[in-house]
Amino acid sequence: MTAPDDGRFRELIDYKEDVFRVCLGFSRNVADAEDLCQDAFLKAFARAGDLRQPGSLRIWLLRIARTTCLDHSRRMRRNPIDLADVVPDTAADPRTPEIVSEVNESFRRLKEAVQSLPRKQREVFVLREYGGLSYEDLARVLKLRPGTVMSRLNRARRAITAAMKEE
Amino acid sequence: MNENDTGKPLLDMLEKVRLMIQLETEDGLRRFRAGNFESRLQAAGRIRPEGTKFAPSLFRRAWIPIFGLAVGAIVIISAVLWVSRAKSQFPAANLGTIDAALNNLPGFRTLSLSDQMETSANEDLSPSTAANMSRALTSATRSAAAWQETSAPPAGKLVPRYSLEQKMKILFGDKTLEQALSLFKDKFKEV
Repeated sequence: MTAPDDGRFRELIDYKEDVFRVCLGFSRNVADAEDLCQDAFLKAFARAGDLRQPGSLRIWLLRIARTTCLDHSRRMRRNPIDLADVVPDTAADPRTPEIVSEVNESFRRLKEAVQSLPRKQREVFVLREYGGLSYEDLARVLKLRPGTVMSRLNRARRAITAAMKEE
Repeated sequence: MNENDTGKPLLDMLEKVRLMIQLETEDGLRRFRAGNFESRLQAAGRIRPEGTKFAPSLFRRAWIPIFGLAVGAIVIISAVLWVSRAKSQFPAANLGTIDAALNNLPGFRTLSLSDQMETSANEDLSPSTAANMSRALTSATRSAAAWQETSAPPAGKLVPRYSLEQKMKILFGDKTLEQALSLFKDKFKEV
């Protein structure tokens, strides 16, 4: 296996933020997301020769990112981390300690709700809401029919909002 | 959650969720951009000279020997079970049983008796006398055997069944077939 040439490397790197967003959605914090993003790119470089349709580079890359993140999720399920680490810095901005506390609590609930989704719903939700993929791209990444994607996404959204309301 | 619950509260909550995700993503991207991802990636690629292969996990490294041991154990256990089962189904041939069965055959009983007589007679008599006696006994034995073969078994008495091995022992071990062929040999010559 050979590393991709400079042109292909640049082409892949252009999608680094898309990959990072997906990794952030699957993981629990920025540091993990960066590591996952790096792993996904290294895997992609290793398999660059396998890419049959250069036009679908982004979809191919996001598919690798998804697989990498799911593998990571499986490992983390056996070794869970404290969800207190997941609150973004922006939430800590602020005006009063009460607001900070409330915002932090909301982020924690959101993370818990996403993590508690069934895998199939979670991956659709993360790819859509964090990765910003269109329905068509979601269907291509997950190799599903668009109807299936929409139905899973709908169920995931309902579950997330229900979990957020209950708390 | 009710399936029909698609009203404003749900949409509001969904919007709130989207806003939170947007905040989280923006914060993450800000930090991601601050780090030099490309140089970090290239360094990681250099650290792994074969480019990009990851060190296999412990399970991946160990699965081949584990799999080999498992297959070996299964093969050995299967072989042991098969041999023990075969032994129970096909017990070792008991020559004593075969011998007893052969001795119970009327024709062979006579044959073995004639063999004994022939042997004892040959020890005391001259060669010509012994040969004459032997011919006479053989003839008598053949007559008795032929008579018993043609006569039907008595009602209510079980006809003994022999395995192929027993039959072969009877035919070849006691030279019966050879004797029968030698009888026909001279007649074929005459024809």
